[in-house]
Amino acid sequence: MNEKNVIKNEDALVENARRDPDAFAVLYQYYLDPLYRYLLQRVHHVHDAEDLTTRVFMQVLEGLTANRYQKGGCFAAWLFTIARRRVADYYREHTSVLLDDQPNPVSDVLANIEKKEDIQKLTHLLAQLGEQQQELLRLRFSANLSFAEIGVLEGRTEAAVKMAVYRILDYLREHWEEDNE
Amino acid sequence: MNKKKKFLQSNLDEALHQFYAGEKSEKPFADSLEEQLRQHHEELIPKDRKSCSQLKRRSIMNKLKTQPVFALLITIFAFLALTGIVYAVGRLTGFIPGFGFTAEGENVYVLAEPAESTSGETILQINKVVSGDNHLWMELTIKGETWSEWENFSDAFILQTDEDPIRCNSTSSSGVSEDEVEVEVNYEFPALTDPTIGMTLQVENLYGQDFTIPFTLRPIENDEVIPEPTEMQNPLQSESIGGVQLVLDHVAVDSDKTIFQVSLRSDQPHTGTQGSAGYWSVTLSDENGSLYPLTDITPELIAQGIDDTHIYKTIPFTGSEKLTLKLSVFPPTDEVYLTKDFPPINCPTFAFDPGENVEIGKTWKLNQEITAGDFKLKVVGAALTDEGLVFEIEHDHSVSSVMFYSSDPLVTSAGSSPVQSGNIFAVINLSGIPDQPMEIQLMRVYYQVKGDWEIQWQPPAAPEKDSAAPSSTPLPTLYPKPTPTAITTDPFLFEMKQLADKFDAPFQEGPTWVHVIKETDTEPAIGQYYPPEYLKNEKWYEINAEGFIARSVSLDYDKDGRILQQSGTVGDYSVNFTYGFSGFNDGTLNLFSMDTLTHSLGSADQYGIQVTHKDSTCENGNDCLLVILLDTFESPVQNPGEKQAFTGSGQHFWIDEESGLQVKWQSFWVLEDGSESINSTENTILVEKVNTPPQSILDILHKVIIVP
Repeated sequence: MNEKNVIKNEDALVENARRDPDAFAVLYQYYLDPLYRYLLQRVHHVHDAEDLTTRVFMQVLEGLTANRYQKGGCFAAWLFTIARRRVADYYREHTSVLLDDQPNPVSDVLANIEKKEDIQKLTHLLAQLGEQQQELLRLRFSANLSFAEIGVLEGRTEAAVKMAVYRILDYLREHWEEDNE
Repeated sequence: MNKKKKFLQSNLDEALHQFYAGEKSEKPFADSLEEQLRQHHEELIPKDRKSCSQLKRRSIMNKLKTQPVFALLITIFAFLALTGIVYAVGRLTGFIPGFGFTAEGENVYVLAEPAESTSGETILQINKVVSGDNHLWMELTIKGETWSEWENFSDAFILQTDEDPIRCNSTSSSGVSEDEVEVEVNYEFPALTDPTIGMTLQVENLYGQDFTIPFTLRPIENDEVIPEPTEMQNPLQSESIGGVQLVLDHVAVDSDKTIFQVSLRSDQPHTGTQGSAGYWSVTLSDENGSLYPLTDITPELIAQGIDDTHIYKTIPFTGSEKLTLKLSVFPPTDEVYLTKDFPPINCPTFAFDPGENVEIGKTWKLNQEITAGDFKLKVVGAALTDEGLVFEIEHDHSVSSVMFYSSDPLVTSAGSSPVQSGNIFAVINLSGIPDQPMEIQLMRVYYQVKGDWEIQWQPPAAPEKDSAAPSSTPLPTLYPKPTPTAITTDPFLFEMKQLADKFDAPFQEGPTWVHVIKETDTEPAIGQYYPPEYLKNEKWYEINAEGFIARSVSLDYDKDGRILQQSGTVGDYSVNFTYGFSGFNDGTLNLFSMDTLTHSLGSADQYGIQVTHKDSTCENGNDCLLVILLDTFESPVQNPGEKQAFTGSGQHFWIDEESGLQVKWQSFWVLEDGSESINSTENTILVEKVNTPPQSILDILHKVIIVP
């Protein structure tokens, strides 16, 4: 499943969001869950993901009001660039991470036995991917970014990103099916 | 793509979705952060720079919200007058599959007739549309080629004359069947202003193709809704504990099923349930303790927008049952996790004066008491770190963390930390060194409340005479799962299979009962909360005369002997008594076996897994064979937060050479330096035949009620 909740005229909205809290709220509501999901995937900790989400949006807001975002740029790529930097800060600050009392994306699913097996199988397959490949999947499916947006973020062409993502999906499909035959 | 592959593909897609996109931010957090951002935005920009056009737009939006009901009534009556058809307009409450429960008096429209569009050899068909006062739900199927439901990146609009295009809020898709190349697609749109006029669905980029389909709606008829009985139209509520209630919102009954909606609600302002620590469900039991099967049928698109609501399907009732709906939380606990937000206008505050000569590392003793509703907090001190100001707080037992904020210009964000060494910590991130007094606001308290949330409920009777009283433990007709013959030419695999069969054989001589106990020690991953570090699993199997498992009970215990979950299986039907899940399995009976090794050995070649074995000694001193399966990765995998990259994964199996029992199993990662990091160790403690299990186990099985 792929959630779509596309913003019309994002450029104009971003421009308005520099000075209008309502316009910023639209951006916030649109990007909140993709950003939160991405951060949760990176830190596996609900409280920390919430804290990082807060930091990222605060920095985005300050960046917009201080005209640090270039008009006509790719807002999603800018947002997730900030998010990645905060994640990097997080791992510099946290040499060890506390076990939380909150759910994580995998554990929630463990309640269902069949899904648990599938998630375990998927986790095992994902563990065989490189960090760069895992990051592409996170950006595509947790952050819900378009191939073009990931391209801007990664410094690659849209076609190259698309090909890389499909290769990863093909790899997962192939090994998933093998595992069941 | 063959049937099997398509089926398996569907599982992969679902797993990918669950793994990557299954989580949403908690609503209280989202609301609080939005409020925080608005407040900060107001501070960042001078008032004279605010947008007039946005304020105007908002005002119009607010006005529009109050008008559609009147407009809809006029258009509906006009439509009825023109057509002469009598529809059930007005009070129409009940359940509509895919859409959910309608609100009291909600005006509901449905698709007048199926509509479709063809693009090349691809057909897109609108099957169902349900338009209510709050949203419009649509189900379509796309046929013609082979697609992965995961790769639906489509966008959809509804176009009506003189109206702006309405863009879909969300979409989902799922494979329909194994036989046909067909994917079901669902879209959810905001409510229509006028559902009585014709409209066009415009779909963009559905598997790379665009479609345009005109369609019309008509008012829903009575027989299209599973009705909500009049006597059930007032919600039943549990006792309020800590401001939280379990609420039975809606019930709809049909001749073959009962559908009900439950929710967790806060009866105090600004209190959120945080999804009750992740997962919550309900169990439904009667006076005898029998648990009724529940299937969660919460429509996916609705579930995305409502965090604390579930819709379940169960059996039809006679109307005389006295039932109890009880909240269950996973992992098992008698607590729910709550948040209490304090709006900036009247939140508790205290003054913090950093004084002079402030630098990183400076600390302050504060002893500042804060009373916030029922919470008593004491800020004992603060420290300035690279992150900002970190406040240490003594707290009530129920409080797990707090969040502070300040409108001081230096403040960039705020965070909280779980309990550490008895106290909790709240962080205010700063963009510079504080040199002026600032007012610190308490924004949010995270806390737990203990209790049993229960609703006593006499369900409405099913409408037709065939309402079935629950039947205890009827055994459906099942077919034994075929056992493989001549499994291998690999001598080692053959030897292992013989050992396993040697152990299993006496336990397959039924009728009898087999009692198995295993203990598992797990190294929890970061953020993992289940399974716990120690888990004991006890299983009771009833073996029939042919050696197949007729019934079984499974119980998970924690280190203190507390039951974490229990489930019962009769034939092919399983019920999880702790969480209420139930359903049929694969339609076959399984032979009893303690063998988990030979399946892994059989597929080792295919995956390039290296198999080695060596002599070892079991923990009871017997001779054991240690079998090692090792899967080496093409390149090391560095997970965030882990000190070393993994270069492979593996499993250890210890087999008692005399009895053939696989006594111990381990899974492990291979680290870059060649060492092994054990993830999980499972020890088989007991396998015994008994004539009869304890009565408590039989009692559990007698509670298994199978859906007719």
